[in-house]
Amino acid sequence: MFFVFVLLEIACFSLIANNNTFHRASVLSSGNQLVGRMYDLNNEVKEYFKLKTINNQLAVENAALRSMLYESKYFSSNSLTSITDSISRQHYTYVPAKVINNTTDRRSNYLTIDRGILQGVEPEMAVITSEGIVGIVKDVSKNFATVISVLHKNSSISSKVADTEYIGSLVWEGGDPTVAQLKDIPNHVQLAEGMLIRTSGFSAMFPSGINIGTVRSFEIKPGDNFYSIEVKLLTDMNSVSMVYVVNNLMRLEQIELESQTEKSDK
Amino acid sequence: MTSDILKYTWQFILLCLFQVLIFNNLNLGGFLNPFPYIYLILILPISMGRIPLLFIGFVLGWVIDVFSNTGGIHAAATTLIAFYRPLYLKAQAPREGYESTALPHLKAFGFAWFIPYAVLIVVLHHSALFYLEIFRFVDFFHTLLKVILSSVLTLFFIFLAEFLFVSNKRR
Repeated sequence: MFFVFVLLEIACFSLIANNNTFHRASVLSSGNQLVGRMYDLNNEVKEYFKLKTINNQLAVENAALRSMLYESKYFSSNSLTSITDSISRQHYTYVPAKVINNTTDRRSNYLTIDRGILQGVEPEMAVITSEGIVGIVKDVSKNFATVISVLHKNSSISSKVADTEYIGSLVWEGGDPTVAQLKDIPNHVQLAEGMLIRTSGFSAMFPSGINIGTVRSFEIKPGDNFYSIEVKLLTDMNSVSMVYVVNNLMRLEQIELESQTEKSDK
Repeated sequence: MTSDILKYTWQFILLCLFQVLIFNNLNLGGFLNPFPYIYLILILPISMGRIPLLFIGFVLGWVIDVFSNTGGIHAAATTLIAFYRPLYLKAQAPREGYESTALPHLKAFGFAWFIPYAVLIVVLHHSALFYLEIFRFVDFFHTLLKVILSSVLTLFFIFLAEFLFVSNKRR
């Protein structure tokens, strides 16, 4: 009896340990087809109640995009010569996806989205919304993927204070799902409430300059060389619904190069 | 016997669905996460073998884990209470032992018996669950508050189920 108990508990702990390794092709997570199908159904009902807010968000985003159109630009020069652009190349592509499951009340939160391998989603891709960041893809199945939320105890996102070159990492210490903490900003930087925090683009996941949040409060603990900064997240993690999965076309190249450098360092 | 197995299988599925589709989605300020699915462990027959009970506990927790992306913390907690329940029932047994058909319900045993039984099992489960979830003792009191508040809410739902779904006649 006791032996069976111990055996089962060992099984549980190996499941826990397995789940904690950051990336892993898992058979049994909500990326799983059946579970995903079910959440899909559940979400269809819930979505009705969010239609109004989603509409507003989309309208705002449409407006922003429209303003980027060629037609909405004013060219002061009269020349109409066309130039083939050989300098810029596509660096990121985006896959739109819908959130079909989401938690914010745990210490480690995940989301499930309705796009997977077949739509080009892969582990370690970044997930953003038109307002801010959401998380990083963890596991993928054919048509679904799970996302490690910003609100996860292992989440750490390279970010910088906009308009300065100071880099810190954004973590979440639990509690309020609208507030995260920014570490490693040295105490000589001039900060002000309301300053914008953006992604640094130093990781191979997030493009640089994606909005994260605004500085809500900051202090220097006695004897500390770094600020303790509270960041109000721009994405409302409680109601996030339409997201974009970011595909960095040069991600593999960067990762390979970096790991090569680290290896030769040892 | 067969109808009993059917009945408990049905309750298993129903509790899992309620937990995953409704209670997991309740968002009450981060402190209140009720887990009424463990009601199943409370109400299984007293005469049930210990090893089958352990396996039911494990599978129940594991199903919840699969649906909530939590690895094995629910499985660990439910296996723990499935292990603890027979020990508690044995310690609390009346002198002449339990009737072979006895079901551990509120209406069969009364408040004085049922309340400590439910409270102990729920608190044990929630403590195991929440401390496994954060896996460190830094936020000890924060987590303790979470355990207490969530246990109260879970117990509320368990008592609600006891009042609504358990008829007087059945024992």
